[in-house]
Amino acid sequence: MAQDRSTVHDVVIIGSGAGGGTVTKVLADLGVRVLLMEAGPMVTMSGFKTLDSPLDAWHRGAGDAATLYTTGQGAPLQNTSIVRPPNATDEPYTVAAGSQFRWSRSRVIGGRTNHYGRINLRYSDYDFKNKSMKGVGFDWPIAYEDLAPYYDKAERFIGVTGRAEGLRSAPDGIFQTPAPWRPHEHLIHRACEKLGIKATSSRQAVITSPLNGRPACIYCGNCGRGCTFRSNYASSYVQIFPAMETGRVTVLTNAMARELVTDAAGKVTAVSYIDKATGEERQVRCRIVVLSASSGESARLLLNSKSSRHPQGVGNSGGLVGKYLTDTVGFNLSGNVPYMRGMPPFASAGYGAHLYIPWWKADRHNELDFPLGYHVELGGGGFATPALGFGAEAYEESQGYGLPMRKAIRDSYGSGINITFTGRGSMVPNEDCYCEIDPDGAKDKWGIPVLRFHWKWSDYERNEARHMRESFTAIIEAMGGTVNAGGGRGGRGRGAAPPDPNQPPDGRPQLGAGGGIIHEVGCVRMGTTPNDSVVNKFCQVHEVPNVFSADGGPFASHGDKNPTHTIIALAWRTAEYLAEEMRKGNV
Amino acid sequence: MSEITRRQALGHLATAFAAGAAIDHWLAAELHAQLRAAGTTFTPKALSAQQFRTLERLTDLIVPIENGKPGALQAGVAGWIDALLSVNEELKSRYVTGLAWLDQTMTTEGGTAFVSATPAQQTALLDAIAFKENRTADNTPGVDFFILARRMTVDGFYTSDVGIRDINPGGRPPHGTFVVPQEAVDYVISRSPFK
Repeated sequence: MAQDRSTVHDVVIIGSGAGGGTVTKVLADLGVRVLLMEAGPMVTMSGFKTLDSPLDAWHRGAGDAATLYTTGQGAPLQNTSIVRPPNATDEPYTVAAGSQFRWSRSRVIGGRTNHYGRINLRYSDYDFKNKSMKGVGFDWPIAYEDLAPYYDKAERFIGVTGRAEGLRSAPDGIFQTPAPWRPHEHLIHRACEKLGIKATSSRQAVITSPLNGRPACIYCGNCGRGCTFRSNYASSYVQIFPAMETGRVTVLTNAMARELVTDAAGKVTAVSYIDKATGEERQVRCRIVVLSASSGESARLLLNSKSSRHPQGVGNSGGLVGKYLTDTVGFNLSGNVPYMRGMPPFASAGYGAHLYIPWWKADRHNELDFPLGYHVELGGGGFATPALGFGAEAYEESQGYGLPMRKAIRDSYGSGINITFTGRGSMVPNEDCYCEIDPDGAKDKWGIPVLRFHWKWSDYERNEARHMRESFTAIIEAMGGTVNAGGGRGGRGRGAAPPDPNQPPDGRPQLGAGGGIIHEVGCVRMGTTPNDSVVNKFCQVHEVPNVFSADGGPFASHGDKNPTHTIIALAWRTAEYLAEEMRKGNV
Repeated sequence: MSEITRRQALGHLATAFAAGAAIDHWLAAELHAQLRAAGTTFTPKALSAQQFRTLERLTDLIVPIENGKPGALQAGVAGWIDALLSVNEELKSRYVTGLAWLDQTMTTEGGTAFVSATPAQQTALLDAIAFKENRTADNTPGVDFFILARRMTVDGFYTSDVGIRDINPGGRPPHGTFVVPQEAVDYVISRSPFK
C-alpha cells in the first residue's frame, strides 16, 4: 500500500462542508498546518453559475437533445458543477426493509454548503436540554451559553442577516441589516400578528454590507447556485479558499476515506483512503484526525475502522456509533391570495425569503400533543425570472391562446399564487432511527462496506405535522387567502422525498422519507461517558483522544433549526480546543 | 440575406409598426437588431421553408403582439423551436405531423394551406383545438399538437430577452440595494383584511 512516509500531518480533516471548512479556517488562522481530504473534486469560482439565465444555453434548459419535450428530462443549467451527488452504483447505501430513508450527498469541495438554503439559525437554550426541559430525547453535555461565543464568531466572520427580537425560540445574534419585506411578506407578518404569532426577518448567511473582503449581495435570488461574488456563505469560498492562502492548508481531492489506521495503543496514526483517480489505496499519516464527512459518512468511517483494540470500530465500545440519527420534520402547505393579482411587478428576487416565523409556543408545550417545536420558512409571492415552464399554470387553467392567454400569464405572475409555508420541525431521537454497516455485506466500488439505514417516525413528529397544517391554514385564512387543493404534504419543497408509506392514513399528514429534508444529524453523539456517547463535550472521541468530530455527528438532539449554523459554531469551538490541546502537548 | 430571413425581418417590422403608434423604443431597437442579424443568420435547420412559415404564424397567433409589445414571432421563437427539432427526431416528427395536420385541416375546411388562410380562418381552426373541452375524435391530433406547440412557444417567448423584459421590465439583477416599491405594498395591503 502506498504511503507517504516522509510526512506526518499534524491534522487531517476528512470532509470539507460546514464542519470541515470551519475547522480548516480556524486552525490555519491559529498557525496549525492541516491536510484537508475531500471525496470529490475541487470547485472553482467560475463553477458557480450565479447569474446564468436560460439564454446562456442555446436550448435554454431543454437539454442538448431537447429531451425536456419528449422524455420530460431537461438540463439543469446552473449547478451541475457544484452539486455532485456520487454515482449511486459506485457509492450505494442500503435501507432496511420497512424503512424509508434518502441520503443526499455532494462530493465536492464545500460539500452541501455550496448549494444549501443559507438559513443560519441559532439553537435555543432548550434545544440543548430537551430531556431536562421538555422531558424527551437527550441533553447535550453543553448549554447554549457554551456555544453562544462561537455563534458570535461565526456571525462576525460569515455574516448572517436578521433583526433582534428577544425571542427564546430564536436567540438574537450579530446581524447584517436584513432586506425589506416583499408585499406578501408584509401580509404574512400582519396575519401572524393577528394570530399572536411573531414573524421576523429571516436569518440568512448572506451579507448586505461588505464583510472581510466580500462584496454585499446584489439580490439576484440565486443563492442556491452558490455565489460567484461570495456574498453568501459556503465553506469553499468563505473559509477554505482564504485558508489555502495562508500556506498552511494542503488539499487532497478525490480522496475517499476508507478507515482510520490505529497503532497498538489504539491511537489513530493514519487515514487510509482510495485515490478515486487511480483506484489505488493510499495512506496519509497524521497526529490528529477530524471527522467532517457528514454524520453518516463519519459514522461509517468509525464503524469500518476495526482492529484488535477496536473490535467494534473506533469509538464504538458502547455500541452508539450510528445511533440516534435524526432529520427534520417537513410539511408544506400553499395558499392562494387572489387580491394580489395585478400587483405591479418589481425586482423581487432578493436572497430567498426575507421573513420567517420562529416557533411561537416554546413556553406553551403543555397545550400541545407534541413536545418540540418548529419554525416556518416562506416562499412564493415574488416575480421570478422566467425559465422553461413559465406561465404553464396560468395557461393550463385558462387554455386558449393569444391576448387572453398572454394576460392570464401576466396576471398570474407574482400575484400570490402558491405562497408556500414550509414547516421545519424538531424530531425526538428514537431507537428505530440509526445506521449500521450493511449486515449483508454490501460494498461500494472500492470494496468499502456501506451503510444501511433504519427509519421510523413517531407520533411526536406526526402530531407536529398536523399542528403545522392547522397553523398554516389559519395564517392563510387570516390573510384572506385560500388553501390550495391537495391539502399539503410532508417533505415537499426543498429536499422533497416521497411519503413514507409506513404511516397509517389517520388524518395526520404523511411525512416523507427520513433524510428527505437533508438535515440528518446524530450518529456520533456527544455526552459525558463512553456509555452514553461517542464523543465528549469537546467533540473528542472518548476512547481515542486524537480523533475529533466536526459535522452534524455530535448532535445529541436536533432543534427545529436548520443545523448548518450550529455545525459551524460547534466546529469552531472544537477547532479552538484542539489547537489549545496541541499547544499544551495533550494530543 | 436569404429570401425567408429578409421577408421575415421586414415582415416583423411592418407588422409591429402596423400594430399601433405606441411602440416601445426598445421594441424598435430590437427589430433593427434583428434586421441586421437577419443578414447573416437564419435558415431553418429541421423544417422546410413552408413548414417553418407555418410554425412562425402559429407562434405569432399563440403569443401575438400586444399593445405594440412584440410577441413570439418578433422574439424568434420559431427559430428556437426549429433548433430543438434539429436535435430530436421524435420531437421533429411530432411537429412535421402536427403542421401537416394544420395544413390538411385548413385545406379541407378553407381550401388553402394554413399559412395563406385569412386570420379569421386561422383563429377559427385554433379555437377548435386550443381548448381541451373542444377535443373530438377527429381533432385529437390537432389538440395534442397544439398543447405541445403552446407550451414550447410560451417557453421560448418568456425565456427570450424580449419576453423577460415584457413580463418584468425592472426584474433583472443585479441591484445594489433591495427596494420594495411602496406602490406594490399599498396595492396588496389596500385589498387585504389589514387595510
